[in-house]
Amino acid sequence: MADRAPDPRMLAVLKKAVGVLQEEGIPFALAGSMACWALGGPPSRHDVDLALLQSDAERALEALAAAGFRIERPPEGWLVKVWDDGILVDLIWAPMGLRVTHEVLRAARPVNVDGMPVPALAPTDVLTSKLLALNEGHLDFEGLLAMVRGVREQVDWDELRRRTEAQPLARSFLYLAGELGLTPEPEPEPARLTAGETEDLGALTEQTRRALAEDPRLGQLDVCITLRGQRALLTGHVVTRDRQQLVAAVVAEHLPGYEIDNATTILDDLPEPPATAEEDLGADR
Amino acid sequence: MIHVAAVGDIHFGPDAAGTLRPHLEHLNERADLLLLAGDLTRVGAPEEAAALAEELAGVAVPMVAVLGNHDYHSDRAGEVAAILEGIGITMLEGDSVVVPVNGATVGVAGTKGFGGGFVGACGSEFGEPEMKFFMAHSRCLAERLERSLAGLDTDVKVALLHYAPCPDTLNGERLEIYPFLGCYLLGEAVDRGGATLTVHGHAHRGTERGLTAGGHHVRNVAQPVIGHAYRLYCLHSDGDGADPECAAPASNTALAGAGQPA
Repeated sequence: MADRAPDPRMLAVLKKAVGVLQEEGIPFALAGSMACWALGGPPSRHDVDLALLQSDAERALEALAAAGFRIERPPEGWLVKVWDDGILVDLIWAPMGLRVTHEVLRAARPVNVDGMPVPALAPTDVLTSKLLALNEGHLDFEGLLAMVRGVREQVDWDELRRRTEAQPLARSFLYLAGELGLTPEPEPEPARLTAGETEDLGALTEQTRRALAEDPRLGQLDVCITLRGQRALLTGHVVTRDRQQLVAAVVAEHLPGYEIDNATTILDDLPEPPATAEEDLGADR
Repeated sequence: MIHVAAVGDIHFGPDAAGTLRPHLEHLNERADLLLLAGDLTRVGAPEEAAALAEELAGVAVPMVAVLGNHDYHSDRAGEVAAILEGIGITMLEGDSVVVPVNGATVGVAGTKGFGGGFVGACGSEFGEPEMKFFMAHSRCLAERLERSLAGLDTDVKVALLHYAPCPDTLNGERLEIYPFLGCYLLGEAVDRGGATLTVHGHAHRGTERGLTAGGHHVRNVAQPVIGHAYRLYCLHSDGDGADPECAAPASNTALAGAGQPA
């Protein structure tokens, strides 16, 4: 394996930040790429992520500022940032697919960071965020496989599958990990239909889809319904929260007995495009 | 230079009140006109149009719109259009409007358009009356679009549609539903009529940018595609729209030269 050691400056800044938070008695846990690394994955080349409670963020910022960190409050609403020696440390209270609670932090286990014991998020939590963050422009399965090899016995695979079910790239990764023998077989879904009935599933989905279009309260044409076992996964865009709930209600009417996983996104309140986004469609002659 | 803001598939209703207005308040500082590419309402109910009219009243740029298939659903498209015209929106269907901008003129030709499909896989006026009716509707709207574009003598020409004129901007949609998303006849109308920019909506899972067979710019501005309150495009008043060659029917090869921006 290539050199496993991350940038020594990054380690130094991490240890400094950890020291400040411990001194202040602020509960936290290593998250993101550095947690992956500490759990056996490749070294992080990006930044340091620390998970903490939202209610502790302000106190952590003050303590880190007093210790010489430059602090930044970005508008994202799920993290704040501190800098030292050119290294960025993200203090995150809502990583993808997760909300940092006392319970999440209690599940953290100490890992060895360059001789220093540092609590790191449970492998299931780290993998949840990592898998949900996969996108076509950043599809590094290599690092994830390396990490999974290291922590596979500590992962709650059924829980991880449940949390990441709506993300096709996450499902692909978990399939690949299964083919490589890294994950246990998933619990088989209880059989709902006999062999002769399975072909009705397509018709059932289509009937439901058409009901969403033809329901006079909705006229919703672009919600996609995927049936898996006894769960109905809904994806697509709706305009308001009311309509999102109505979509689920209409699906429930047509698919009694199915548990509905409403992963539709709401489009209300879309921002104005940034001034730089204007596209020039023709040069002067 | 002409700055055009465009968005489609707002699917507005009373439940969405207040979500659009804040993002359009300063539109006049960024754009010279606003194009609305159909599916303005959820099911074409007059109360949905009224909610949208209230939301858009006071937008300080000229607004031009076409209806989409959703706006026809309650069989009250005429009322929907009238309500929007009531706040000064120009509603187009097979006709055009000329908007003066900074001493130049922008001609907008608009139609909802219709489906049918694209080259190699398009329906034809054959068989049952329903099929003939379907394709004739698509052809008629495309013919009217071509006539409206050709009849415009403006510095810049823009085509405003709901259905797609080319398959490029449908990329992401299932191939099986392409014939319900647009028709190549609209693309031919754009190429013959010579529109510098064509905007459409309807294909929520499509992509923003494409070209007609003749090389004219097409933009899918369906709100789920653009992910913003609107998109901004910059057109040049002495650009392609005024090129007389664009107005003449010609082969695709000839049009590629005439229609493509310099």
